[in-house]
Amino acid sequence: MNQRATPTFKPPSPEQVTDHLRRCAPRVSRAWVTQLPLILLLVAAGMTLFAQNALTAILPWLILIGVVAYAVIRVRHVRTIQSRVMRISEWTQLEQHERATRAIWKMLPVVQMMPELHGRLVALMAHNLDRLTAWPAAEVAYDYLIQRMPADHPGSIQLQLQRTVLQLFNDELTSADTNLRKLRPLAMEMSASPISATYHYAALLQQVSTFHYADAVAENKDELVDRLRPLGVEAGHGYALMAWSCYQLSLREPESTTWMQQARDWWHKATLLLSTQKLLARQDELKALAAQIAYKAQSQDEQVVEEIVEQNTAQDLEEVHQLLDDQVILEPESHEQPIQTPEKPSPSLLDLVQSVEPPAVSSHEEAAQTDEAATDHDVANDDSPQDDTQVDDTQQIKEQKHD
Amino acid sequence: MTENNSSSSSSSPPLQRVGAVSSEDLQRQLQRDQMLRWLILLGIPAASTIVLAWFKLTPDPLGFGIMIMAGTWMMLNFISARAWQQVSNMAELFAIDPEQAEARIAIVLKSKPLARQVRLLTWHRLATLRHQQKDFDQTIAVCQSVLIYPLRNVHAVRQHLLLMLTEAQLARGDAYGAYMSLSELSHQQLSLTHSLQKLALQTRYLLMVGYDEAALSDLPGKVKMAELMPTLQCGALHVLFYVAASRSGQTPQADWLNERSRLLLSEKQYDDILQSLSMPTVTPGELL
Repeated sequence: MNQRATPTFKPPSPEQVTDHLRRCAPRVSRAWVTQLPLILLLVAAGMTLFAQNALTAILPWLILIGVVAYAVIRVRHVRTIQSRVMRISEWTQLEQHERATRAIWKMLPVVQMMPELHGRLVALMAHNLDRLTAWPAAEVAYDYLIQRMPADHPGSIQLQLQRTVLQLFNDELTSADTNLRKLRPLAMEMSASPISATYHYAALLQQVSTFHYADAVAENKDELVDRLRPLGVEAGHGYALMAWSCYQLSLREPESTTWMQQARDWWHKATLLLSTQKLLARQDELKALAAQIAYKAQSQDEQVVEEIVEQNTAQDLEEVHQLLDDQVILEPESHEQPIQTPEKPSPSLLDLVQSVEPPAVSSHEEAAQTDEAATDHDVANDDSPQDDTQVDDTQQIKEQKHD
Repeated sequence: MTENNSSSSSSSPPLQRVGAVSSEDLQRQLQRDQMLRWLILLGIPAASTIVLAWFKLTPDPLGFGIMIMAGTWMMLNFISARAWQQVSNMAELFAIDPEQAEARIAIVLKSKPLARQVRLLTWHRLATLRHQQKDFDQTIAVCQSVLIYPLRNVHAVRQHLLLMLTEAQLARGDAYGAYMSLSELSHQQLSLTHSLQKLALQTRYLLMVGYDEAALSDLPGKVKMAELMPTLQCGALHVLFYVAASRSGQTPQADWLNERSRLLLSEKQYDDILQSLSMPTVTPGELL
């Protein structure tokens, strides 16, 4: 198994997932197969009673040894598979999604006779494909699980909600709306649980997807943090959606500064829990907001720094004048060190100016340079599509600044 | 060791309970199991061989006797397997009906002879139950009793016992015991889940003994690990880091951790965790 992600990795298509799941469907062994060791032992015991020659005397012992050896090998095999599934589960938790997806793909045929492990692996596959943004393929895997579970089982409700989120990402708005209406009463029964939190996230995503920004803000303004809390750090995606809604409202009402301030507050909450990269990986339309907030923050910083620079320059000039004055006074007495006007700012000013350099811009420029220079790069670290657009954004911002 | 629960309703039979146990109880049970197993394993085949030879029922009584021994061995294992089925998947029952779970454990502990491994694993279930009931004294007693014996092929159970023991020792304020348990854990290869639990316990221990700087070492890595935990545990660990940062005067980190923990935890959860730690939030430098 490959330890690292390779450039050739491509998530499976929905058709491939469907085919693979059909080929590797769980199977139940026949009753007589499971009872075979016991039957063989009884036969062996019977043979010892009527042993007539060497063959009938040895055969029962051979059967006994065979059954014990089979049992030992079988137990070891099951243990190995269980430990592999556990390792895949750990890779999923550690966000090594490509590696986990590959391993699951290979493991599914092996666990056909173990329905419990099979179901677990399919659930892990759905989750990994979801994180790899292979949403249609993930939807197939979720469908497979949902069809095999009782509809009102909490696990099934959670899966249905996750599928609804994927439907929203896939722009299947009608199906998502139907599912959300169906799941609402079930999710509401389990308040302050991951199920209800996922429901609220899906509902917010639906409002954002259908451009109902005012409704999204009005319904979630005061309770979103409490509602999404059970999601842990993943709640950051919900806060980002809220920030996006506020940002859209600020574009509609450019004269009002409160929407932008609220957008900034929610974005702060989102980035407190998740990195900007993770937020954008899930919803790349948030780039505009990220760039806007980064630009605003940068321009505010620049304004402050410019004021400081002006003050410092004024102070420095005063000091220079003072020194010149002193020199004028001292000149008749000492000619050893003529006073020179400083050609470059003092080190403190330089530090200040360097600190003004926007980290986002510089990092993207670096990324762009490394992208150009790189000939062989790793897919795991390759977020070039995002970087390209972000570089465009930052260049645009730079141009705006120059204007 | 087992006793009946008098508080149960009169319509249903009273549920059995497991009383206070000690390492001597486990030792006695294991000795009794071993003695019974050998007695049955040798006694029945020997008796059958003698009877068969006496009455000349088979031409090879010794071979038949060995076959009966194999059958007896399988029967004994079958008894142990049935007992193990009763207590193997109890995680949900612990959460839903702890009394029923305890009754089941009591029944299994009474059955004999059990295979040594099954007996030890049933005691492990008892430790888990006591730990969930927050009966820390009994948790310590049961864990220490089981940890004396080697658990073959079930390293995860040994690690789980050590984790429960550490938490119980921390809850009882036994820093030395917690240190010993943690150092034993650090010599073992842990699964991701156990590593996360160990991180939480280690941080609690470090805060308990005042090693705030050590608790904050490699903070970004630890925060990433914390993010893999369920929300409540993740928030609780953030509170621990926040307390460590605020006590060691690292204000920016403290602020960041506090802000995060308030997003992850409700107001009540946040206060409860601080209260359970008995560590009031302090302004930097106050405790120094």
